[in-house]
Amino acid sequence: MTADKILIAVDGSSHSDFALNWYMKHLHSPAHQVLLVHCFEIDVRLPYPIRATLMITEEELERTINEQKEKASAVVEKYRELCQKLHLKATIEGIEGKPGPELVRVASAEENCRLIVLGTRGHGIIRRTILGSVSDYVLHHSPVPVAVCTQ
Amino acid sequence: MATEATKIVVIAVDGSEQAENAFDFYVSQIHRQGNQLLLVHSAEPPTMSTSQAVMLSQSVWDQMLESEKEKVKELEAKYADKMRANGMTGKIKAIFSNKPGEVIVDVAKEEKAFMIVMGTRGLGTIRRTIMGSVSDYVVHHSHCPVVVYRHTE
Repeated sequence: MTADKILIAVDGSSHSDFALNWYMKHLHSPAHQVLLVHCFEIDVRLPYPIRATLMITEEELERTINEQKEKASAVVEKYRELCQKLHLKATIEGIEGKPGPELVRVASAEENCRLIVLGTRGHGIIRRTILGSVSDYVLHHSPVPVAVCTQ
Repeated sequence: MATEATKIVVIAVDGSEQAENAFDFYVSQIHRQGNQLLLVHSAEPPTMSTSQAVMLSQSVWDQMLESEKEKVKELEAKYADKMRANGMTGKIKAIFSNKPGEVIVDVAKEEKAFMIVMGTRGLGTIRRTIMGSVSDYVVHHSHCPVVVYRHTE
């Protein structure tokens, strides 16, 4: 019988750390198989004014893409270490794509996924809302129950 | 008896099947020994239009109230049985209010719950046709993490 899977969405922010710690403290059991997922989007828009973007070289484009990929790997590494510290045996994945839809897709695709755990928000720039856009999306589209870790 | 702080879980229930599913989900996936349940039944008081109310006699109104209270008692009995059957300790609090979201958040705050469990669709009356408005409210105003049991069709 396949074990029950718990999907924990992380982005490297303190909210994700809180969600993971809270999960360990209150929800985790050895019967749960944990899948930590870091969804990231590669942004190819450079912070230059529009005239300058016409002059971007392929080199610069490649550089910015690689920078972002490295940043994502660093986040995955961070959680690998955190899991070791928490004595949590988990699968940790970095997935490129729009976080909300990707998380929903992963939860649907994984056999026996029982719950998605995430923070209320992440690194997002817009802080006027209580719930970040990804948490909001997942809450409304998830095929499984969602634990929103309010602090 | 126990010297450590009691870990209280608030589970929002109404008479709906989804609330029951949320409860069952908690039992099978989330419950831990030592968690104490606090079931919150936020019932809507019977409502009617003003024109109806004018025509209503006191006895009919009393009857409606009585039948609501009966429903609450049945619900409490049902969940008391379920808790007992699963070896859980818990209380049930029934509060008549037309602001169920606020009730759930307030009770969780007062009782210092560490988690709220609820569904997205209950027995809401017709005027609350926005799906999941209560769970939306709770998620946005809660002081502790909320596990939202999603309906799946």
